[in-house]
Amino acid sequence: MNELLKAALVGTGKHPGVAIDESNSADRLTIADDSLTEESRFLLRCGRRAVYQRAGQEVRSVPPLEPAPDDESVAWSAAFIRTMKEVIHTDKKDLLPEILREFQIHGLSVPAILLPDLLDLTDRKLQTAIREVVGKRGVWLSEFNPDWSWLKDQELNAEEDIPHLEEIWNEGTVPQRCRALRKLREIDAATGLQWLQGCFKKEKADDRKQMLEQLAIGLSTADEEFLEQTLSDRSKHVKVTAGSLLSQIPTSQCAQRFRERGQQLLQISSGAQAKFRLTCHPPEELPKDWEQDGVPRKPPGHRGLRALLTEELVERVSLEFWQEHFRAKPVELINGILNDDFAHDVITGWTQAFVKSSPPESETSDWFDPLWKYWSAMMQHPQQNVKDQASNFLGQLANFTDQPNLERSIIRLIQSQPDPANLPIATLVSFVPAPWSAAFGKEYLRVTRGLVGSRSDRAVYDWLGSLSIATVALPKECFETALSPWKIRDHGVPPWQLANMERQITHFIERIQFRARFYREVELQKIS
Amino acid sequence: MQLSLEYVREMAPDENSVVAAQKLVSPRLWESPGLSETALWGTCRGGRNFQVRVDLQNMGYSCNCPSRKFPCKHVLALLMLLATTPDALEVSEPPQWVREWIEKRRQRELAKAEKDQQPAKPVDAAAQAKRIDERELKVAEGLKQLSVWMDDLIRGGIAGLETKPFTFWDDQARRLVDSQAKGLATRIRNLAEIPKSSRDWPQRMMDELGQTRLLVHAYQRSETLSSELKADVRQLIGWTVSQAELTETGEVVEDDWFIFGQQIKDEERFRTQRSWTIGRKTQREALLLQFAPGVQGFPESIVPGTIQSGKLLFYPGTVRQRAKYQERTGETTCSFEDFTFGDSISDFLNQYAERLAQNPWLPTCSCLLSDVTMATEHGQWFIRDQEGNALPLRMQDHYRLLSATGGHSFQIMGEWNGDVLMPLSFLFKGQFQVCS
Repeated sequence: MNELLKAALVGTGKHPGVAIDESNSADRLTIADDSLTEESRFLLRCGRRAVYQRAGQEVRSVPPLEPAPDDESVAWSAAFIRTMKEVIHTDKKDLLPEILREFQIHGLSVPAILLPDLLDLTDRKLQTAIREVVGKRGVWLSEFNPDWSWLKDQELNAEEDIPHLEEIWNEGTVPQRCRALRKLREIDAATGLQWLQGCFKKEKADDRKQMLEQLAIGLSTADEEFLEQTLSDRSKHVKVTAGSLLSQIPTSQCAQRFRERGQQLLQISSGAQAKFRLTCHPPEELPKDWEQDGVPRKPPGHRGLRALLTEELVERVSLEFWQEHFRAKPVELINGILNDDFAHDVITGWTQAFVKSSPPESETSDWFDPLWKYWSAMMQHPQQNVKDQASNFLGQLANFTDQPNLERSIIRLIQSQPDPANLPIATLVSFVPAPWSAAFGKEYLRVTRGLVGSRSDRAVYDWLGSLSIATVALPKECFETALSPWKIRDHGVPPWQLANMERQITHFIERIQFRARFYREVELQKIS
Repeated sequence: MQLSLEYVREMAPDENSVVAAQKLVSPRLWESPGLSETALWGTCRGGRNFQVRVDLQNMGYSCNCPSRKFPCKHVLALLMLLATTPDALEVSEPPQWVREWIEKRRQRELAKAEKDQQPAKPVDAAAQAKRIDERELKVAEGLKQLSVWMDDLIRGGIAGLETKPFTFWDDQARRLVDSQAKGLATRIRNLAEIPKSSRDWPQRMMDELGQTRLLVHAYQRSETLSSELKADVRQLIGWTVSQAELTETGEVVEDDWFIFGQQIKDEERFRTQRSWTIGRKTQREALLLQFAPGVQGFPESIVPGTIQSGKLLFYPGTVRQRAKYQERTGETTCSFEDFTFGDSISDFLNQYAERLAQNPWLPTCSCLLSDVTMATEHGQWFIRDQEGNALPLRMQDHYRLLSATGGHSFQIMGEWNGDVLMPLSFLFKGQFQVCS
């Protein structure tokens, strides 16, 4: 620190005067004015020095930067860059997955000027897509900003990742530790079990439950002993989790016990009818042995204990068992129980068991259609909680079939309805991944345009809520149909409703036009 | 009239305005849009109808919407409509509401031109001298008070300034405003931002206080200065240059002016637009300042990336940096290569030193350098010339510049404040891009 700055910091009142530095040209410029105070002289000296230093600043030399490998062969138009910026920075961000996919399909890298905007995005799904289209420039750029290191993060599947995971396991927060354990179970399930066993008793009940849930990854008979011990845990939540996991190990003793209880629960109806019928006989009270195996005691909300016990038990018994035990197909089992008082609970249990079987095995894949049909019907249930449950299950079931089958199921459902407008279409189409197939998109547009052109009731108004999903999911083969003029039946429609319908359709058309423009520009870039 | 979509987009204050305007580029959303040789107009339909008018002679515009963005989305949309679907506009005589507006503008322009050309009104020399004397006295008194305040400040030391509230600086600035030394008032108010702003803030504070004291000293002895430096000092203190003075002492330069950078800053009651430009033939730099009070737009449309032919009137001073349009003859198309860029940071700094020698308080100057690359050292980013010399960059948006250029050489256009370079735009592979 120079003397002048020291004096300025402590104040000239406390600092002895700073001698003129004869080597400094600015200091040598003295002002002959006796009326100036000491402080003014000091400040003038500071001012002269500041100007002198600014004027005479030394040129700084820095090492060069290794340039990026030049992979930007496409000269993107300014209009295209603007289109992309519009997607990233406005409410059109939901179009980004599709745009990134197009880049990937055509083997293109995103324009370099947009890389900082894309690398700043924190959505994990988008990051996966972005990784594929940033090109060499993006990888090069990410070296300069620690926040962009995610670009180079590879899937943790190598031996050298384990020490890193162990570090997180020992030092991380509970969610971080759970993620680390989950990853380790994918790589090395036995070591994951050892880690958990090593610290299990020291953890809090909630944390124990969360960590125990991670054993669902790579679950095997090797975990049975530990899980059996855990059935005697102090926490009821931990017990429930342990019981649930044990029931998923087909060879476990616990699973066997559940199967035996299942035989008591569901029985073939003893009536004289030729039709296959099942009846459910849940216990009035929670048996001790059930509780020991992790079946919860108290039903949530207003449900009865017997309904809960039914659902919990059915969920814990493998679906193959029922098929083998009753020598019936899934559709027969579901139809067989439909007339029972506990039918809904049994089917809920079967659905839970089905969605837990990940990925679906060939033996259980026959369950998809009858379960889908049942829960689709439940979407029309008068009680909202059942509708919500149905919507939730349909969403989960959608992950257990391929897209063509899912699209066919929804089309069948629409076509089978006397009035399709009563279907919660926005929920149903949201289960279909984007982009939709051309056939599905065209069918959706046919029904939608038909409804809008012929009716003006509230159900049609609600149906239009699905347009926001269609704007993103419709494939480009459907753009022409989507953009052809829309006829709205405005007879007897309240003005506010008509205005809203027009607004929704205009917004839909704008978005489709935007997407069409994007595809045109990609085509132009490919040609050029 | 030929108007490109790109030009309209460059006029937009931000990307969101472009997006909003695009939604209005549909003939059905416009009620009787029209076009004449002098004007463009239309009424944008919506919850409320907004009347939009554009003066095609100088791209002045008006819209009665309450937006605080200039131009607003309605003006942009109407211009986009003209650029994309001119057939949607009916070529006709302007309606009355447009005619009246255009006439008023013409009258104002005429009055201004007449005023400029007419010999100055016979002024009451004695009254004017009295007014000037009175102001001189006020300023002198204000500067005296400021000197005492600064003496007290440096006597007590700057070490405790980080604990001082904003009012410590603002009170003194207000006293200077009362003394009609607004330039100095702004300088003092800006000092409030220095404490704790960086590790070397005491040094910066000492430098700024010193230079301010130097300015006060120069003003108090202005009779010893050259007329140009005296003009600089008076402007820095807060004296405005009258039109008569500008006509008398200003310098008119005719050239093709390349607008290479622009910043808009929101002040308390008005907005300031700073546009940097350089002449093709003369290679003169110019800083065009425009002010817009409240919700009004800037009087002139100045678009970065365009090259305007015309005459600039430079304000008196040593470096002659600030200028205003005297005459615009239209947009011209010439290559960016016609403009001279320096290729050595060392030479640029020497030129900067020469300018400082003329005007020690020169706040900023333009910096146009070719064949530079991005470089980094100890977390600081630089531009680096072919000799390996470097200028530090302001820490903002350097990633966009780095990403666009990929570490390869490019031409940079920015504003140098003596410490850091703020990139305004760049040319890479012949393409002009604004840093934003």
